[in-house]
Amino acid sequence: MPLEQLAQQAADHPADREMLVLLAERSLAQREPARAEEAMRLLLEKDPGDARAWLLRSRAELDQNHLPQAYASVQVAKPLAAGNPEVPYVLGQILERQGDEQEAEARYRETVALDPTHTGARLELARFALAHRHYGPAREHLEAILKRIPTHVIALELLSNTLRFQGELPAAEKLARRATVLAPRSSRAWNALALVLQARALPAPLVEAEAAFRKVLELDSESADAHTQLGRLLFNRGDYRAAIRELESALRIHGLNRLPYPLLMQCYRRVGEPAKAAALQREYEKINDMDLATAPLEYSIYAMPDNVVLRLRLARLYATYGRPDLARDQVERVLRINPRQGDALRMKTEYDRTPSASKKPE
Amino acid sequence: MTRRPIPLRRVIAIILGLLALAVTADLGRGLLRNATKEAAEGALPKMPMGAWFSEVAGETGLDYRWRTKPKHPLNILELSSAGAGFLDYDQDGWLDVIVVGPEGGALYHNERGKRFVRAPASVGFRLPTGVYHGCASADLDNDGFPELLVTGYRRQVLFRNHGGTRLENISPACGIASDTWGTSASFFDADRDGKVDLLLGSYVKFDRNSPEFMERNGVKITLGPDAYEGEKLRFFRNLGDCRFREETQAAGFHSTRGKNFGTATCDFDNDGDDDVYVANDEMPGNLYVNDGKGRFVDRGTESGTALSGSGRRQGGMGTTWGDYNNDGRFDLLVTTFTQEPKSLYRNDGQGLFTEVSNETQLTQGILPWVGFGVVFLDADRDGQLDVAMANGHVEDLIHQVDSSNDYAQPMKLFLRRGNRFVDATNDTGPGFKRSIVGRALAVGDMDNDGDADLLAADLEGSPVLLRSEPVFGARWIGFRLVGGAQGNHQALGARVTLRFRAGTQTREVRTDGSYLSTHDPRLLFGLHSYDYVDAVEVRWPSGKVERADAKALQTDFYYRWEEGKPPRKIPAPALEYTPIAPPIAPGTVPGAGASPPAPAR
Repeated sequence: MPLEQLAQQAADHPADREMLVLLAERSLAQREPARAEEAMRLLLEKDPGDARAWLLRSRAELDQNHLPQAYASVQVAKPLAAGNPEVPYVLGQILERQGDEQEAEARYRETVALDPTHTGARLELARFALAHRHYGPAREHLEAILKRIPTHVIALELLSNTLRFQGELPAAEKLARRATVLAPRSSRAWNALALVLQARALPAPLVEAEAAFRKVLELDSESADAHTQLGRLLFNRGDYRAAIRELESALRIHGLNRLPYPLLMQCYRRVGEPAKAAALQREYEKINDMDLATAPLEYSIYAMPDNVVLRLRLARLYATYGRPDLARDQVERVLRINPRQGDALRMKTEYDRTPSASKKPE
Repeated sequence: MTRRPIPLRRVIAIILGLLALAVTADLGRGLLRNATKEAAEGALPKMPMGAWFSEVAGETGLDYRWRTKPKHPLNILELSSAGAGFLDYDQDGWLDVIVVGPEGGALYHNERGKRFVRAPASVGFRLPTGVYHGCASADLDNDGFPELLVTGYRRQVLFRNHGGTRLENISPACGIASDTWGTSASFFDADRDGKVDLLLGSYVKFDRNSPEFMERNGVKITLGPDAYEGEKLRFFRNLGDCRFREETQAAGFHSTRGKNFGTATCDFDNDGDDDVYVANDEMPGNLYVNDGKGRFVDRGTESGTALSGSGRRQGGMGTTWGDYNNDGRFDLLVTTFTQEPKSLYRNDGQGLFTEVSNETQLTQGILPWVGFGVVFLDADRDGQLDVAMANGHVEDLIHQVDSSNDYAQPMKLFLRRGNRFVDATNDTGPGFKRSIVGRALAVGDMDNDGDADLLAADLEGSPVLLRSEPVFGARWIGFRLVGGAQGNHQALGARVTLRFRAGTQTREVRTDGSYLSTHDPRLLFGLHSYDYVDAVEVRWPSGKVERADAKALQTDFYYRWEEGKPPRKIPAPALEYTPIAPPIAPGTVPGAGASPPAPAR
């Protein structure tokens, strides 16, 4: 039943709770969180003790990036739905969105402890493990998902990446191919295949890797990563002009991404355009300077996430490099730790007034 | 007239003659065919090639132990050290061994390749109390005997070598005063004044008040280099008579962002002076290009060697130079952290490099490992450089957070086959199979049998001494170079180019590179099955170029080659041990039966 029709039926039968829950679930699935939130508001007016409704409302709020509201809703659901794995799972998602990754990871673990078959939590734990380069645990979670759902495309893609990092290229390739068969319109699946073929680096796979990267770009022309990887493949083949086209495309999409710069500089030098290379290098050094200056603080915060002093220091550094958007994130995190932190309140006002150096994501 | 019958003897003779003619003609055609084929392939008959290493540290008496106090987790200072190297301190023709670590070090004397005994107390190798990391050696006063530097945490100790009988600690007075955390060091003649200078790598600022650990999923793990401010390179100019003056800024080395782990020198741009690569931990690498007068400019980013091939910073650990593709240009290899490519940068000329670790199949199987010591060597003497690596994680409790990884990791040997490297770790003897917490890795011919032996440091154990066994009798030739009055005595920086039937090989005299290591300064050339060389040329540090009389050179010998004189054969010493016969057939060795390398273009 189309969503509009379902919404009409729910309006026609306001006492039908199941209809409202169905409407909320379908709305969330179809990325209409506001409609889901409204449905749950109606339901909770009738029964404020409905744990399921609080959880769905929390998810709807989360999807609209209303994090404090989402957090409040899930806190209400908590005592009403003790032992329900969805409670820690939704809480984990809110915490992750707030930047509290360690706590989020702990909530996902709690979810899996309550329900070892919880696909969403396992997927998040696999992502965390991959981010920390812990490929053993990542593999464990992804294999558990695929054991239950062998056609789970995201798990196939992530497991392919995991095996590639572990040097198991034939197995990684097999998984990526399966993902592209199951989801031929998934740019991520094609990207996983392209990366594993590129890693094999034999003549035939390299030809296929190029085709796979082009397929990624056909499906998602804004993939700066695919442009960069394709540029690298062409560079290593000695096709510098073609590599320049791809790397420049990557920079057009994502100007603050430093990865394409070094190769692009190399290309310009190799085609006899050293002035362009030098200009590019000056631009690159600016971005790189910020990266190198902020890396120690970012790492320290990774180790000590609740350290307010470090976060404020990092915020000031970001601001110095013309990135109030990143500075604001740190200040907001400080205010979550201590809502009355004076420096943070002052800095937030200041950064809210300052436009960002770039609207493009880092 | 009656015809006289042909005598039987004559008939037999004619038949035999015709047969002989037919056989000869066929043989001739065969030879011609073979010769044509060989010419087409650019190679002489095939022969099996391979390598085999025996682990002999225990039986030869290398009994040093690195860590004697069990404690986990370890902090960053405790996880990085463990140096090892080869040097012939008494110049008796046999490589001795130095090992250093957090709790001191030891110097072993080589008893004719058969065993090692600790150098007598009278030699004077005594380290003041401290935490030590690496070692470097070179003849700093041009007296023919190598000096020895031990690097450490806020303490660098330089031993002056008095005629091979006494090592004197001259650090307080020699001018090498560095309060940094010293790591790898390179001795090289930066300004070609005949006096060997010193570049000292320095890691991070770390003291007793520094944070050491963080918690991850309930496990206390070691903080990495990003948690600390970097320390920077120090350059010391040799003023003569083992006196040094720090000239870091004047020489241009101050531009590094620090966290230096590996240093390696080489004339990568073939302009006759020494350049330097510095591998930095989670910082861009530095390629310092020499202007010929001992002043350096960092061209890391421009050259493509500062970052991985995908443009990322990497945890640069060890580094070394070698002409792996025999094109006359030295290529660069950098070992890195887990999940980072072990970056092989092909030198394309014009100061530009391409990262080819995937294309050469060098990195795919070892992405999970944390690479440290790394050397190029011709393990199978086929005339092409192979690669050995010592690996070990930097988080001693890694297995508690990632069951697929471990603190101790296997060493790796890659043999060059065609235009790729083949992982031969499991096919070249038990030595490579043992997992160790690998750090330093040194290369040298410890038994003077013409093949490259390996010495690795195991931070949680004893030294690993891998003796290369003569497997299939491939030929070789070696040179010990001695510089003239205008260059340094050890001829550091000299370049030898050797042409043989299957190509051209280029080597430079160096004792640095890898990680916290020092190496055999002699040059070894594998010659596959050929018992002759076509041409050998040396470019001395003084700039002078000399050619040897190739016809006079005999394979399977070392030659002492002094500047201005013809090479002189060094009599081969008799082996004082019985080489182990590898329990393998040629067909079981990766690449066995491989053709010799293709001729140079």
